Amino acid sequence: MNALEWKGLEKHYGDFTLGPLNLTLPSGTILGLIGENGAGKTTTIRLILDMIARDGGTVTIYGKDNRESFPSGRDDIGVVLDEVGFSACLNAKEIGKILRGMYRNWDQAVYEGYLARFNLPMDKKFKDYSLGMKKRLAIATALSHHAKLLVLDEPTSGLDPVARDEMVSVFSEFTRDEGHAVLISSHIVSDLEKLCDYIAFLHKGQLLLYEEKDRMYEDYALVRCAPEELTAIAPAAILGKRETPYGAEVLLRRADVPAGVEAGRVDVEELFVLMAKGAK
Amino acid sequence: MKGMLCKDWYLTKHNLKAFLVLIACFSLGGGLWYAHSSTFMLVYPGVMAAMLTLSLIGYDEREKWNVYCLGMPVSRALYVTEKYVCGLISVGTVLVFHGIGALLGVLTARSAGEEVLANMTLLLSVGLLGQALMMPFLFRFGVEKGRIAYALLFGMLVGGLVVISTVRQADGISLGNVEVSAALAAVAVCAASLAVYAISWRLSVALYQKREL
Repeated sequence: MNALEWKGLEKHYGDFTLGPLNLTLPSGTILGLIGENGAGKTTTIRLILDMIARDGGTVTIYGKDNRESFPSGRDDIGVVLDEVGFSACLNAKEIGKILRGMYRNWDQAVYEGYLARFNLPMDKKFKDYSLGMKKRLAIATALSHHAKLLVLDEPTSGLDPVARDEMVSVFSEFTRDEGHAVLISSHIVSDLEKLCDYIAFLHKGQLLLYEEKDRMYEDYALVRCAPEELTAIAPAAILGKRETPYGAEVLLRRADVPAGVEAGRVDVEELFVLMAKGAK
Repeated sequence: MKGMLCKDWYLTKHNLKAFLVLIACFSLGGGLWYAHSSTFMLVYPGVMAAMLTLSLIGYDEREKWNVYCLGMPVSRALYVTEKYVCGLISVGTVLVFHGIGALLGVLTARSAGEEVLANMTLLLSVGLLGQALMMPFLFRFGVEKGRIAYALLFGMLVGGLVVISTVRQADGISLGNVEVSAALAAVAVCAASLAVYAISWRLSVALYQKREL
């Protein structure tokens, strides 16, 4: 079963148009949403959560329209937004009490377990937390009400590498349950590369790519060559390129790599950067 | 709803204690020393109650809780409704303190009992109508742009003072040839205030649905 499905999802803001987007997130998997600033990642996440009105399309969560399943369906979703909106004067203990009154399945023991695991003091006020601690607290709350789906907007921004690695482990553990799924947006592509089963690239509101990560490695290749060797490659086959005085890097589908040309593996960050450049 | 009310209680306890103290002191004092107090003492707690709710909405906007909570099992309608419930609680608190003050005033012969009903009616009206006028502006335009609501609230304060002065000078309200008793007038005013509050709530829910956050 798909945890999430968007069909023809659209939103218009003046001169910016998001979509139409068509994506699916199967249960038991993690989908990484990658995009530049202003590409539409946060808008996409807010549309999924019906926090803003969509101008077209549908969003289904575990087979139910996100509007029809509200509010009971929201208990099944753990959310971390780019800005963590807890009141500055509250401490983690009070936030736990508040959320116990908001989620039917709130589990105080799980919450306290995550607070301990993430080294978050119970009595320290939210305003006195560092940016990383605030993010970790938001992640702890999203994981403490037995959600089936996590929707995470930039959850690892502001975290140091050790804490980010810890979060990658936490999200991986979460999807060991086949009924669970994670949608995560991030600028930190290396985290998504470690974590995700599927990758989606958003560029200026449009979906550039949506692919299973392992399939992506099989389908795309990076060719490093001298600038004059570029003529051997059909221009239409070039999905993106980077030229420097020392040579050129060209992104191609493996099927389009000319015979005799050596093609290397492309990582997610290179793929995204070159595709975004190619789309400009 | 329970969790949101809990959040607003913590917020009030931590950040808005001064409002609670002012509401308690002026409500209690207005009831206790009614015979010697000015009409200001009767209007001010109601205005403070309205300001308390306004401040809660302001904190939510500044700290982005109004957006963050929509990722939880909270609809926009529920968010608005919770703030109206907060408004009722704050006005209810004013009435409770005023009632205690009035009871102590009667028991210690500092004030007469007959004014209590009219005073509490006016407190309820000022508190509810002030919020009923403010909140649709706040939910449509946000706290920053909804400053016009402050102007309306100020108008309510002045209007409330005029009404109180009028009512204090009369035992009842005359409607043409029909004399309406003070008790009946109080019930009518309370009912009208609650009706306006309910209309305001419906309006705010509708306006907040359309607002881009």
